[in-house]
Amino acid sequence: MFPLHPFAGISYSAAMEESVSIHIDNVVQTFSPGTRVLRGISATIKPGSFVGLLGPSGAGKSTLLRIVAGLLPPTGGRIDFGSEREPDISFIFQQPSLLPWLRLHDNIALPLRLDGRPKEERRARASELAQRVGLSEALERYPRQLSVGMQMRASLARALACRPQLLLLDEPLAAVDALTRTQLNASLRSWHEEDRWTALLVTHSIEEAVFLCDRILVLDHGVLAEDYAVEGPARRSLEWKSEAAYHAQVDQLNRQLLQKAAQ
Amino acid sequence: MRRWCTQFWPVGLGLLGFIATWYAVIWAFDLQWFQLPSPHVVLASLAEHWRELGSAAWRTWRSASLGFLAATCLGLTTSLLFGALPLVRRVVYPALVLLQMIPIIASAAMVVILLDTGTIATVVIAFLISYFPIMANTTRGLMEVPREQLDLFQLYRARGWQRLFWLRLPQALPAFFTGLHVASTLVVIGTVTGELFATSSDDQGGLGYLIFVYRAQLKTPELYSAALLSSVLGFFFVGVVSLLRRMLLSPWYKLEVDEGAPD
Repeated sequence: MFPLHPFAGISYSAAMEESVSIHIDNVVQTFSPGTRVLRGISATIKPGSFVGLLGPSGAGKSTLLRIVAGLLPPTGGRIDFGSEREPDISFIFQQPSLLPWLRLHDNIALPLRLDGRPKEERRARASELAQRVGLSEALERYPRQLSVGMQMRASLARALACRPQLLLLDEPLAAVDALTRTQLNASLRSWHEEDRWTALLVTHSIEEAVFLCDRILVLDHGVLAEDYAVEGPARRSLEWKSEAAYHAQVDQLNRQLLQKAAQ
Repeated sequence: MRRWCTQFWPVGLGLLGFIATWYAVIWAFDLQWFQLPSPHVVLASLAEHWRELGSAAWRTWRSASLGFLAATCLGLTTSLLFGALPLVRRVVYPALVLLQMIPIIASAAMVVILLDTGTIATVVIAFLISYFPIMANTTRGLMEVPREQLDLFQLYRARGWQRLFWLRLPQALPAFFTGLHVASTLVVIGTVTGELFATSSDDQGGLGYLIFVYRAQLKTPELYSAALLSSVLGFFFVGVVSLLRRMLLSPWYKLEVDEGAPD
């Protein structure tokens, strides 16, 4: 088990780059003639906010995420981050995607290694992040020697290694068990509150989206169907999940999505 | 010791079964020593002609080793070139596939015409039979990198050489060893075949040459001894590759094939 607030007393904010805003301007994506995945999505995401992308399979959520990451050029429209230089972006995939031939500390410090940072700095940052995600004991292990949950935590640590301004998460906890998922959600939210990177999360779970996000964009058949502001405390712990306000919002979103599906 | 016994008793049993079948075939078909010599006759001939057979085996081993080493170095280099320059791969690879289709006997004849008989020709023939499996498997390994890992390197702005040496090459190591394994099973066969063409009576021939001479002189037990030594040489190459594979891959790569649950 790893602590839900493992960084208590440590502030990373001073070292963080400023988070960025995302301006999604009429983004269209067509894969083959007749297959329009995104049909003109526009939205502005404030710096430091945690925004969820909800919707049925095939709605275009992951495609939009890949376009924002710069991994896929859009067929039409543009993405602007409101800054002159390219922001530091980290991406967390559905699978941990660790490099199997690297030990855990090298996996966590991969972004720093690619950036040409010295070995001492890489090791120090890897140890710091491993402690944060509760993997200090596993730093010398290879990914195949870790459980899926541990691999996912390592993947989260790697994403934070370069102190990103923007964190993109594509159903990052879909492959882990329910208990680990709850714990990692709590950790994710608290790290975000501490570091204030801008986050864009693709998920199928309404409960997860309401707990983690400040705002939820619902995509349906490639269009923005709903823009929902989550009303919740700025600092959220798992206790919030037992409050009526949380459940009311989960129910409301559930009903709205069911209505949309029925139309 | 107990584990060793458990692991190797099927091999011992198989070997005993093979020898028993050998004797049974001689007895059942009433075969003469010059048609099919008994195992003990073969061993006696091996002991008797040990000096001649041993030096021939050494020459075959030397040619096979040099050819195998050259094929490994050049196969890896070509694959890296293909990994770095996809256009070169698209132009050159089909030509290499075409060359691979030429039977080794025809290649050996062409090499001897070009280089005359001698050790160099045998080494080239050993190289020709080993090169393609190494190059083809490594190239496949370099190309089959999971998309998430490529995305990761793109997001962290990895340079071309970082992508090749820190991602594609380690990813290709299991495939490289598969190529080495295939080549190690072929290299002695290729060398012995090559020696049939590339050794004249003036040269100090290898096992291939001895097999040719023993067949002409109807020295069947000696021929079987030479064949047995060829097989031992083949095992040597397979063993070295297996050992290297285990040493380099086993910490992070699952080597064992899942044999499935018993019925």
